[in-house]
Amino acid sequence: MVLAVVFTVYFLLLTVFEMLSSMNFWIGGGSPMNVFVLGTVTATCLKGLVVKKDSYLVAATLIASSFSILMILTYLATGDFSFGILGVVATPYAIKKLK
Amino acid sequence: MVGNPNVGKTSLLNALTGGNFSVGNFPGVTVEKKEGVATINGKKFIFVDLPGIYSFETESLDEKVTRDYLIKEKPDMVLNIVNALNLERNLYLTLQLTEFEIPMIVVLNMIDEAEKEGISIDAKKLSKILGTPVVKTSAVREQGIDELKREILKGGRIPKSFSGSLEEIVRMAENIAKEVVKVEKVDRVIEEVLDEVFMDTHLGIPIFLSIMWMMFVFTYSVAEPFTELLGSLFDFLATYIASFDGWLFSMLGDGVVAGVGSVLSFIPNIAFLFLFLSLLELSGYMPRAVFLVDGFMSRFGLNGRSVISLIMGFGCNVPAILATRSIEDGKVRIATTLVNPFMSCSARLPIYVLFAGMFFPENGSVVIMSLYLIGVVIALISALILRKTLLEGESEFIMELPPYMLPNPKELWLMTWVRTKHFIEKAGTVILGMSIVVWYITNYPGGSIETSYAAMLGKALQPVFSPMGWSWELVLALITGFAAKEVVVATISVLNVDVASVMTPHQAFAYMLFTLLYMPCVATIAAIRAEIGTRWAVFAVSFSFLVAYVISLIATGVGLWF
Repeated sequence: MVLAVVFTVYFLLLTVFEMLSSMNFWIGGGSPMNVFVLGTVTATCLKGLVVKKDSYLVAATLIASSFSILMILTYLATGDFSFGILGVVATPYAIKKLK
Repeated sequence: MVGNPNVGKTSLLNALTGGNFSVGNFPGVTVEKKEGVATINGKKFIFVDLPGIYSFETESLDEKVTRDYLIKEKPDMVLNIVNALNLERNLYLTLQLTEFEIPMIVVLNMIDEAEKEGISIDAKKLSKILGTPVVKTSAVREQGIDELKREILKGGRIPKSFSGSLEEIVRMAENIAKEVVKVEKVDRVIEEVLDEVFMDTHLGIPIFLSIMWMMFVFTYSVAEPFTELLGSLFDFLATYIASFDGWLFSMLGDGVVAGVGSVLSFIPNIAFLFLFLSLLELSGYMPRAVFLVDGFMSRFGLNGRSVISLIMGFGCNVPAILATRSIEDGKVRIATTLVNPFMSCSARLPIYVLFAGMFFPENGSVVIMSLYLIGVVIALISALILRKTLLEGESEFIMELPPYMLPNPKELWLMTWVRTKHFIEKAGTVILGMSIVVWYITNYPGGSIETSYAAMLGKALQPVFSPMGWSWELVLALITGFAAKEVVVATISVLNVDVASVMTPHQAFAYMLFTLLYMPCVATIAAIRAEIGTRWAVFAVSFSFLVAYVISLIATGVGLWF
């Protein structure tokens, strides 16, 4: 459950940063739809925390990992930065749980 | 090859014949019979993959195709493909098949998935009960194929007859399954873990939308450098060839290479879209998405089977319309067919990428996703109107959720390639032909574009679109796009129109909306005519044109406020 709290707070921060970035308050280049994806990941972690079920954390980290890989590819292709890239920290947990 | 939908018949056909048929972890992929040839120990076998059916009790078109084939064509042998994960349900069809008195082999496919879930099946006992050989396979992993080939060489056996009423057959299937299936308790499988979240009442739809967004980012942003590279290459080639003197070089450079090249440069976008869609289909996520929106769709008079066809429409509307054959209710089938062209097929993607890149460079993915969503919304509203007026009635739907699977790279590649190849083939045929036609009508008579046939045609029709403020060149592109939607881009390129200088961003958005919604391409109209008749095909053309005109007019008007 500690991990669920950590991930919830972490993705909430990323959502806020991406939101600020999409409104050009900070860094710039963020997208409202990226905010939506990060918000969905945060909500999924939060629900896992509330109902005390691991499955929500597994799914949330799986989505966050896929999204971060996509955002890395986008960064390489276009140079557009998204805070979604930082979701990559969830990848080891997702892989471990899926295995 | 007969079996329930999504039991791996096409995968097995590929494994037996080394074929390249497109598969999917999705019910209803096969709606027409497919044939594959294999030589086993010097003997030639023709395998016919029939559409997946649950029983012979209902009246859907795919069941009719299967029943007619078994009765009229009298095959030498039936390979009854059974999903080992759900033997009892699959046995209803197996028992009904015994009444045809054709030599049979029962293939317990997806045995690896069943074992993972702690399901073990006593094949010998099942063989004894049914009176036919029973072989365990995993077509995706190519396991058990050699044993199956050995049994095929032996010719199968006529099974014991299990005739009776539907209730009796259901009871017999239950009893047989109880005798041969053992289920051991295993840890929570991945299906349960993921389904709990992906099908969650509150989170299911946001997750689905997030995945859709990822698909558009992958299609638009990640593919961008490849598209730009190909675009520059074709531009260079076109300019170089056209720099030589003579009409032939002008036709090859300004017509063929500029037209076909402008479409081919979007191959990366198309391939990336198909790769992502194939990944969703093969992983087993797509049927979950269908299940999620089924309740919502019923409010519009459609059902889950309609969703399958509508989602297939994102690839190409033609196979999507053929997929409506699995819809039992005739009125739902017609409604689904009529609204299918509103689903944005891959042929429209080059138009969006071109205009979005030019007018909305910062928010290209958002614009493209919004166009796809608008297409879905228009399709749903149209379906509701049709179901409340011309096609009134109720509908219901049952669907089995397949297991989640890590897609087999070979099948993923095959699926992506087969679909992308179709796009490339169109570039070499319809688009090539249309590029030459457009080049001719823009250069003759007189050699000046202002006095050409193209200008005459475009200017004659331009007044119809004057409320939207589109130039005659853009109107001409819409007309040629009737042959295939990609031709819109080819025409703009052959005409060498500087789009950014002839329209504003809101006019560009209205233009994209028009190309999304206006008349289906010729191939789609032919498919509609073949499936539901000429009258409905004429209706589809007029209805979609009317909708496209009204919506783009509204978009132009709203755009003027900003």
